[in-house]
Amino acid sequence: MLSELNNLLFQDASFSYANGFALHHINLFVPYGQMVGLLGSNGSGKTTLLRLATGVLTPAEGDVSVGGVSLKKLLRRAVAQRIAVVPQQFNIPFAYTVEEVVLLGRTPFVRGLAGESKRDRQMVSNALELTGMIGFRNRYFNDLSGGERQKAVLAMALAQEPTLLLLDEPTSHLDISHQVEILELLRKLNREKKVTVVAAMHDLNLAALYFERLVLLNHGLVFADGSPDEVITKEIIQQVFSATVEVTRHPKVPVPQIVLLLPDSKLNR
Amino acid sequence: MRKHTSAIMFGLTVALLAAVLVAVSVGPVKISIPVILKMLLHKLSIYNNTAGWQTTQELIIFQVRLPRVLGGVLVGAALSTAGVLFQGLFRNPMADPYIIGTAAGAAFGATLAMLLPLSLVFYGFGLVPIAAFLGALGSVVTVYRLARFGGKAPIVSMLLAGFVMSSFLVAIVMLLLTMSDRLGLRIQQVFAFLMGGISVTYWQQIAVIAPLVLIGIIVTQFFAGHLNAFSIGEEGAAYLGIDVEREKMIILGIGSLLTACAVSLGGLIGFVGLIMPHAMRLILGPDHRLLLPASALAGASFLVIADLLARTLLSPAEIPVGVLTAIIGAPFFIYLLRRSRREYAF
Amino acid sequence: MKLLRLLVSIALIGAVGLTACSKTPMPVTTTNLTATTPAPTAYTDDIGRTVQITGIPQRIISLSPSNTEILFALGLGEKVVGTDDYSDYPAAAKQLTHVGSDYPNFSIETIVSLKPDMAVAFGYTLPDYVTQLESLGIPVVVLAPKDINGVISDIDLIGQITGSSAQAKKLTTDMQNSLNAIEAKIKGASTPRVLWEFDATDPGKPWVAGPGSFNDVLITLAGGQNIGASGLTSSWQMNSEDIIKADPQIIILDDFQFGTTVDSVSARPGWTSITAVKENAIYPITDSNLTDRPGPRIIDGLELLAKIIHPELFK
Repeated sequence: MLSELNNLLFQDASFSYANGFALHHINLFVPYGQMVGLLGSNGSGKTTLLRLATGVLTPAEGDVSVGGVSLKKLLRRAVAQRIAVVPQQFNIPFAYTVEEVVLLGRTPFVRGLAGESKRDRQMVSNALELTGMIGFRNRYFNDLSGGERQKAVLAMALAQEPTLLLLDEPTSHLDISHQVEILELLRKLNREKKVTVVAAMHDLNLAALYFERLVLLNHGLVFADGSPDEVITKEIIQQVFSATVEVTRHPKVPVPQIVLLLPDSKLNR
Repeated sequence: MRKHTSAIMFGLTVALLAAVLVAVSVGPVKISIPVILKMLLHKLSIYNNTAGWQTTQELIIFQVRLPRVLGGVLVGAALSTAGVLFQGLFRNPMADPYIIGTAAGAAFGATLAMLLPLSLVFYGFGLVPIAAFLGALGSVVTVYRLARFGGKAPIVSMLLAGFVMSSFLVAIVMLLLTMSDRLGLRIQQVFAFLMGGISVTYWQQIAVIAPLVLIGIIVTQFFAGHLNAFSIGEEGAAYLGIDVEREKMIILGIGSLLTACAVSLGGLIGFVGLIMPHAMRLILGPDHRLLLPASALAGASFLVIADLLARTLLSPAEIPVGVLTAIIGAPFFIYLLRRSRREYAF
Repeated sequence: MKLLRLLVSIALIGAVGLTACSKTPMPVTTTNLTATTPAPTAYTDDIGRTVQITGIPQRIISLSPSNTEILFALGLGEKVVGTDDYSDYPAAAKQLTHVGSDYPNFSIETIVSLKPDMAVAFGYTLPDYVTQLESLGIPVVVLAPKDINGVISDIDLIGQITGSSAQAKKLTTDMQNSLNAIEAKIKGASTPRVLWEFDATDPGKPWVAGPGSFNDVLITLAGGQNIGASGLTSSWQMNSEDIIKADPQIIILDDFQFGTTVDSVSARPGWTSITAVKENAIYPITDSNLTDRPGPRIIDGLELLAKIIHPELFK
């Protein structure tokens, strides 16, 4: 995996949907091997940003490039060989097994009638091992629990051998133990395999614990960008989330953690 | 890989050949199988002894039965394949080849053609099947255009546009039917088309449709892996590197072409396109690389047998084959459904 | 969209190319070619088709009861090898092989196995059958008479094709004479209003004979006035109210065979004011074959009708 292919660059990118919601002038550089958490309230533009990062949406202004090459110039196939996405929603109306789903991750590499090669199968096995799903390979995807499904989808993304991994709220709808499992996995991938990770996160505390850099979006703009200490402050949380919190330190890890303060009558909603 | 796939594919091929042979050998005029085989070998210039059968028998086998049976093979294969394509593309187990207006378009075209006093023969096809073919394709193109917005044609929009298109065209056909006498339209002719029945008069029709269907089926095989990817949704498929809009258009195009071919030979035969893919999925699993060829083979055999029963059960009267496909197909499908030990998730 | 069209065009071109290059389709063998084939004669049938027939047909298939009657009336009974399921007149016709009927369908195979050299179809036969039989080498003559003159010219045509013109002449002359006689008798007489009812499944809106139907023609020839002629199609549903207003003097029940009785008609609400009901001039047709079949017996049907409409002129 060449390091130059891991960079993600947003240059003054803007995009708006027909309903008026827009991302404005996003300038963001994610270097090789970084693990970035994307924060923001619902509707702040996290998913849109991720979509721009994969090229399924094209910015109306500005440019998004990966490894120095503008996404506008890359074929979908070429993009998929570098960038993998773990989407927020995932349901399959047909009875595919876990292995068959993970195999879909090899789609960008399988040509025509050839069918999957030995290498493809090897990558699938690797992905299953990494995510701890090897024992589930012949189970039906639709039979799995929420956490197991998330891991299977992650395995599918990993089978793509991505250098850049994008995740849209990978831990929502999961129990604590599964949330931790996923995040530990991401951290391992990032540290050991140098996969660049950009994940939209819902839970501020988990984001602070696992991500070295946090980017906070608000109303389609980058509101804050930096380390957890820089981004998770009482003022910023108040301004962006309209929530009053107390920022404390985690007992073991040197990162901020928020504690929610109950509202009283003096607060403005 | 699911179990026994090679055995099943081989079995399906043998079943098709057997079905064709049986269908060709059964009819109101008794002609035995050895005689048929001899005639076949003679046609292929392998066997030269022409004694042993009469010219009328040869005429019946080669001009009356064989074209019709081959028509059944093509229609069955085309409809089943189209069914697989649409179910996979729309991620909807209730999708069938007629879902985006192909049936209504074909009915509309056919009815219009029946009104016109033109007599036309193009490669063996009269005005009605040609109009049905064009109507089916025209309808899909219109639905696609209606659904397309900003360079994309979302699946849901296509389904809705298809529904609207179908309702509209069917209403017009109904209107034409109520004024049938005034327009010189024969209701019986319209119903014969609507209820479906394999109608092949000239070998040229087979010669035209067969390559279209075969090419269509072969080309879809190239997209089989991508159809698997489509099952996680259009966005997910894009993330897997698929040029979603382009491939959607191609798959839609081929599916519609196959359906149009089917209606030009057999009118509106229902059930096959919806159920054969499901039946094969229950046996072989949802992997389209197997599902496509298997459905084509199974659909072909199924329709050949259904057509055989349609013309023999109440002989000399013929049951419309679409009626029979539903009557045989439904219980068979329920049997398959119960056999699969887990809750049906297609 | 261009891709879609491109795909279709490629496939079509491919198909055309393949048909051109492929081995020629199996030849259609005909069953009546003799060693020295004389040139075929071209005839024009009732729907304008040109039919090529070689020599005198010896094995004829009749696809409708009226055609069967015509063939037998011309003395060709021996040459008819098969008929539709409903041909029942004359009695000899019932013994022949049945080949199906317009509804639900004919059996092409059975027809072919009888080795015919001509088939006579009727106007409402589906064109697909005609096409298929022709493609199998069996010439098909389609008869579709609109009135009695049409029937007469059909008989002449069949006579011409089968070399029985003398017979045909005799038959048609008889028919024409009877027709003229009837015409003479009713000349100058009044034209009572007649209702010809086909179907009264819905007694409030029965199906009646309209303009352009054969029955309409018969009524006029028999000296009557069809109240259904105000409709737009040859068979239409006329409102009870309109019927009462039109006040027919004679009602012909062509649905007697389906169970409609004279009493049931009088019992219909409001119908007691109709002249035909008051004078009990409701006539069921017991043998609708006489009035429905455009064959030689149509004259008998006409006479029957004339007697009903003008009993005083025909004793």
